[in-house]
Amino acid sequence: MAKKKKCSSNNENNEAENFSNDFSNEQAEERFAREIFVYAEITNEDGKMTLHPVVAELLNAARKLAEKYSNTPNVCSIISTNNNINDDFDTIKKTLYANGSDKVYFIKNEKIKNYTGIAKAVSEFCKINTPEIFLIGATIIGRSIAPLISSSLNTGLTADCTKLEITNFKDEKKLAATRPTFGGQLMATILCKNLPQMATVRPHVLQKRIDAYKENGEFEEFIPNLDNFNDCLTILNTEINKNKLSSELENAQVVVAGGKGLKNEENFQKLIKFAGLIGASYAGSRGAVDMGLIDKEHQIGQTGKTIAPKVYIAFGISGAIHHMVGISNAKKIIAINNDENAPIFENSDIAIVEDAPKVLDELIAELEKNEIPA
Amino acid sequence: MKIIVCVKQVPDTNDVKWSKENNIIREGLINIINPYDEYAIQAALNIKKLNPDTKITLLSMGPNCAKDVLEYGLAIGADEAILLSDKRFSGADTCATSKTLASAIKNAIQEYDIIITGQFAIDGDTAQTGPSLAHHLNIPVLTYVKKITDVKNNKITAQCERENEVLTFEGAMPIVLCVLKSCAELKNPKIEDYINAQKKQIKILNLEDIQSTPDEAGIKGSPTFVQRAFRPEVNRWCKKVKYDYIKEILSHIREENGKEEKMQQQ
Repeated sequence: MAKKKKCSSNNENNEAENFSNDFSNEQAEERFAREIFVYAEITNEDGKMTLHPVVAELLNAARKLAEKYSNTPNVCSIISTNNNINDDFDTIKKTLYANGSDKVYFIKNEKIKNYTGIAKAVSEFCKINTPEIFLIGATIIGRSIAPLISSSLNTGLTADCTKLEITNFKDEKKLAATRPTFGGQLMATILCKNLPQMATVRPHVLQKRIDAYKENGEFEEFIPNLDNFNDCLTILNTEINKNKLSSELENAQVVVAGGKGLKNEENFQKLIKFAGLIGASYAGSRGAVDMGLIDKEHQIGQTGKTIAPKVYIAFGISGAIHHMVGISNAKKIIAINNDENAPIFENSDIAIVEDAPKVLDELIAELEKNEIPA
Repeated sequence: MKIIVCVKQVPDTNDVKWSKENNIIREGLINIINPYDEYAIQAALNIKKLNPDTKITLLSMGPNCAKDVLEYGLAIGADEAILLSDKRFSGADTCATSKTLASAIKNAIQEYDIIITGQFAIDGDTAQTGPSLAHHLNIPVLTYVKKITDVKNNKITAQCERENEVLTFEGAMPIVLCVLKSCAELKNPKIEDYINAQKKQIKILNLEDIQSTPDEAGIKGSPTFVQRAFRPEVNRWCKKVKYDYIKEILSHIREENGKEEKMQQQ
């Protein structure tokens, strides 16, 4: 390969070979992998500091990635806040170790007021201690801070991933992050040339670990220098979002959903009644939201929520690809639609070609007759 | 006041057709303006309504055909448009794209108070270009903007959506706003608007015009690359149930509910 390099005439080829040579020089010995970072997003629920559920999913994924390197790098949680440590903090730390963290980095600075401060502080830390991989939940905050951090570190960022692996690329181990793109019609596996290799990961897709990893681990504080940072944003007001219901939806084991095929409010009420009878959460397709049958908080799909229930029952949903993206991790999909050519049937486990409102009537009648909860 | 609205031409992802070899058939794909960017333009027009001396500049990067979306933006009321078009810009990821846009804004546009982008683009759906652009310009950014409530005294007030709450921010200008669809209502342009828009010009700029460098733009300036693209796998039973479907549905629900109880008992 080195010989070829000299006689190369075309600029582009030359570059490509230089690139591969850089990698092949390291072939003999695997490069010592740096630490793997997971951003530990903290949410405030009723005045209590808690970890966002995606953090446990990321930590488990990070552990699996770390084990692919021969030096098994540390999996480190990154917490960034201006808050002084309070009672909740010990619980949070314990949860991080239990979910797969070897180490917790606590990055604090009183200038951190909101996401821009977090992004700045975490960037400063990463400039000093650059990780191999940096995973961030694809939450609103995650998707807001991640591009600020990646730009600041002059590296790439793969958005809203649904699968993470380590792959061999030109004799080097690389993070291969797979994500749906093109409105969910295409999956793309993306690699990054620079360090850190950064990705935001869609919540409720990856699994968290069942057993506890560690009871305790390393802890390190870092106070970044933010003297030159001027936060030009001030929070004037905070209102509670009526999202409580939708977080229930995201964690539900059984979800029943309605689409355009339910046609009207009356039929949609039947769906809600059925959900109540079996202890399930209810949701809707974009079509149902557009028809005003259900609010946007309950919308499933590319522009709505992603869920992974054990059973998903779709009533009168045609199954456009942007809807299916939101339920691709459901264990079982049962579809009821009177159009036997509805695309949802190609993508479901149980296909029932029937009128959806009629089936709802029959289900409710059956459950009320037996008076035994399903 | 000077507002820049970043717009992107995207393929209509609702209308994708596949070849037998599982490749997307690009011929016949309809290109549209990214839906979120339409609302971004409208949000700028709403600000202009209250501040008549506002000038709205549209900025896009893409091949020559991306002029279509700029013509549309001019028709609904933007004042001027710039298309960054150069072979050396192509194949850019969000890192390179945001640097190219930043160069154009710094060197070719120069003066600005507000930059509005759509929160997402429906093709890539990364939501990254807006915040990255703000970083390269060293100005603040508001993400998931639901409503722009006030623009005055070099300050902007806007409501931003968060997981459990809605936050009202006050930000100093210049500022980047990444907007959701709820921030404005759309209006359809009339034919005469298109005719009037033809008088407005679309400036086409290349890499030298915006004082960028080949290493920072396009595929060369992109740290990420696609290793593999494939059609999502479907691995479902596809079992058709014609009779006794009520029993079938309830049995699956009972199975899962039963498992839960067992786990809790343990």
